[in-house]
Amino acid sequence: MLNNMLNKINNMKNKILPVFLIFSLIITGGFIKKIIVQADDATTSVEVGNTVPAFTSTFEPHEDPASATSTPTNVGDQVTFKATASDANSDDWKLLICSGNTVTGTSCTDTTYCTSSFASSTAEATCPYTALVTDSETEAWYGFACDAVGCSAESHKPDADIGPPFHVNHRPAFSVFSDDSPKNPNVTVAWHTTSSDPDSGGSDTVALYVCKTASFATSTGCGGGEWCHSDPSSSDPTCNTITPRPDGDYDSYGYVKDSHNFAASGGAQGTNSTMTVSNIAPSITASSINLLDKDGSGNLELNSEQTETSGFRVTFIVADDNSCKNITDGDEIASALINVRMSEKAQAACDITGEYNANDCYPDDYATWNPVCLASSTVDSCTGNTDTSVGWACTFPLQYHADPTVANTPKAAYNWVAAVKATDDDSANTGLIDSTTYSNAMDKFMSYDLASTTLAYGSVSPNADSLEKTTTVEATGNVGLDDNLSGGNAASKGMCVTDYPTCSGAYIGIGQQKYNLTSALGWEGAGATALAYSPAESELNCAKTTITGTPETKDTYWYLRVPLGQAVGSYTGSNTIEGKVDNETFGS
Amino acid sequence: MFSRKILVLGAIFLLSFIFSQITWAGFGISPPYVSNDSLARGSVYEKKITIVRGDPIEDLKAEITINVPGASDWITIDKGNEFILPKGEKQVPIIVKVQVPKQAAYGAYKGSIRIKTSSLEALQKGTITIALGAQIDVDLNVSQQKIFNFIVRGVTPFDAEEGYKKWIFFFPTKLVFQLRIENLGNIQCQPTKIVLDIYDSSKTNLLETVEASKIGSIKPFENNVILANFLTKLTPGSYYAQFKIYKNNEVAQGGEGEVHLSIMPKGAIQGYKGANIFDLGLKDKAIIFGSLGLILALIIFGTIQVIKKSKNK
Repeated sequence: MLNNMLNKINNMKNKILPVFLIFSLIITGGFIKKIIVQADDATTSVEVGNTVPAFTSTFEPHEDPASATSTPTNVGDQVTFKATASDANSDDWKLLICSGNTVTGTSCTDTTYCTSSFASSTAEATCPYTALVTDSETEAWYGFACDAVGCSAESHKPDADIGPPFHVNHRPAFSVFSDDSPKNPNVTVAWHTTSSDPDSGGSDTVALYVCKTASFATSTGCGGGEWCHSDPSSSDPTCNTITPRPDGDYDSYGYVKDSHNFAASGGAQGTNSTMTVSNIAPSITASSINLLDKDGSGNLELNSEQTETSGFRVTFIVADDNSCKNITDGDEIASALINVRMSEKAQAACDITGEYNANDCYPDDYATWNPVCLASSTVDSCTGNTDTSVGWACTFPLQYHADPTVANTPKAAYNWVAAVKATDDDSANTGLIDSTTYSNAMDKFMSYDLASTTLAYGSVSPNADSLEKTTTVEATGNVGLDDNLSGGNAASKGMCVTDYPTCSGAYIGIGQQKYNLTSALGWEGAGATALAYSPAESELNCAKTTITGTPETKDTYWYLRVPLGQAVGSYTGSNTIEGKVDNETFGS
Repeated sequence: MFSRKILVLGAIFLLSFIFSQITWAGFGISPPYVSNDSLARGSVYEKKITIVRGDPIEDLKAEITINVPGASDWITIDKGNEFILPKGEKQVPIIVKVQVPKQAAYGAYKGSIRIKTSSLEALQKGTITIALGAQIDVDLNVSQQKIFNFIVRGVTPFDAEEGYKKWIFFFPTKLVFQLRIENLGNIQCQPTKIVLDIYDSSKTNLLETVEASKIGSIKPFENNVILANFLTKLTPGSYYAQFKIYKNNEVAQGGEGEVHLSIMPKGAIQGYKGANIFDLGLKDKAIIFGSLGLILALIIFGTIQVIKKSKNK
């Protein structure tokens, strides 16, 4: 009300002044005219007085754009004032925006917010004011149209938005930025702040943005990915997210902006509160461990004579809450090892090099046994850093005399077990985990070698016996041996002068050869058995080999008796030794 | 005079009895047996045997002699009864196939299969060669019973993607387990049921108990892999499942254990095939098939009306 009255008075003042001036001129002019008229030699002169410019509208000047409660001017930004005025003298005029409603001459009595350049009469003048951090949230302003001599009365647009005051938005304060890590993978992690907005007029709030890189714009948010952002808050905004799975330190840059998209500056703005994801030790479930034959199915089968059989496999799945990938997208699980043993031995009895025994214990620690362990997508692929498991496969060899555990063997009560350990890239490991359900049995491998390749009966006269000759069988598999012995052809012709085995000429019957498992007893000695075309089992009882490179052996002793009247000649023949498993005594 | 003559002959004889150098060394078989105690009439059983040589510097002929009284005719070798063991091959696999006649007498059949090798070269005159061979023990039993028996040799879960909603239907998370099964029986078999108790990653909270919705089967005597499907509501994360694989009412040998499950966000696994329309719940299936039926009925009804109208014209 009071303002309205003042405005009316001001308006009236504005009207009275020009009317008064005009009347003054007329009256003064009349007097002058009288004086001139009265003069004989009259000279004509006039002094045109200055008239201060006047805004063309009583609603000038104004802000453009509005600096209002909802659209305040950020500190550092400009408030632009505009107005149009005319000058009765057609003088140029300028716009003057003051903090108070009085002018002294053509300057503000109080603070000058801005002064425009001179504009032609009736032209629009513009002047900007850069909001200062020291400005109050609202600043009253007063507009004047001035020429070089004087200024108009104060005027402004009577509008809440584009009229006075202008509104200044100050940066939010942001002093502390922190997070509550270290945290385990895939759990909630939160970032906290000490932050507030110094303004209050426009329901000012602050919001936190946590960025993955030091890149942020109030208009578009995080430039290189965002961890989280908060809802608008009156103060101390916080936000949280689920931690990534890979362990390590993650950059987390904090940015606060207010509800007018004005970011904090200095303090904690843009600082890095590193989020740390803890390393969790990997684990292996016993049921995931499979001890496999070379082809992936069935019992373990050795198939290399007197040497290692390679290609056996242990497969297992390593679970890790840090996922199968590390923070640099490498493999989280760095290595794995296996100890393979026959279950008669405890895990702790087969984990160091000194416990190696090719019959039943193959520890990784043993330098000359070299299993190869690699991540295996066939077992379980690693699909990325949200995948919490990965398959591994270890291939390894076993010696030819590794103990069998299938039925009808001395160790049939046991099986073969793999103890597995996986280690992550931070050296945390699963510990040794034994295969349980999917351990495996070692099958029998019957294999032998003949140590001697000649059996020279020497010179034997008819009706005489040869000297004792020896064949030596070496056990080169994982079982004890017997053998079947036979020779000659179906007609029991053991050695022929011509065309063996047809044997159409002279021959020596197969039964003229005898063998004995005991030496020095001669052709007719106890236990000597005549060789026959049909194989006969010889209870060789050759023990299972237990020392690599030192095969168990067993000799068979041979004799030949050349019948009386046997024709002279070179006799050709063939005897057969068929190895077989010693099922009775297992070679013991 | 006579004795001098004998002595000369003996000297000649002496030279004839020097063994030639043996051109092979070691020999073996793995495993050295064929055994099956649950054969049924008409069934077929195969066993792979690997013939092993230590130093295969030449081709050798292998001859097979089968001596299983009452069953020799049932047994065949994939490579025949005579075949070559090639030079340079240290392992030569053969398949021993047992085809039990439909009229075979029930009972045990024991015997052996003998493998005897010989050189393809002519024997060196005046020498005795020692041929190597091996015996495969055969132990068969033809049973009158239909035997349902298997052991579980391995359980491997595949990574899975979370379920998803499409329109109004929820397609659940589909877990697929690979089971290695050895069928010890003489009939085609599959596990009676498979149950998973699914726990959270701490293994403390039981989240779900699910039963396999689909289980593959395996032929008699085979050792092979089958798949089992489970439908769950698991969301992405890390879980543990305790499984029980049943043979009738009891847990099968090797059929109990714990495995880790990794459930991924949708789209994370390349080529992953999740649940389809046939994996939906009964209610959803009823809606879909009911709708399809209604549409079909409307089409038929409309067609009939059109035909009637055209006839009237």
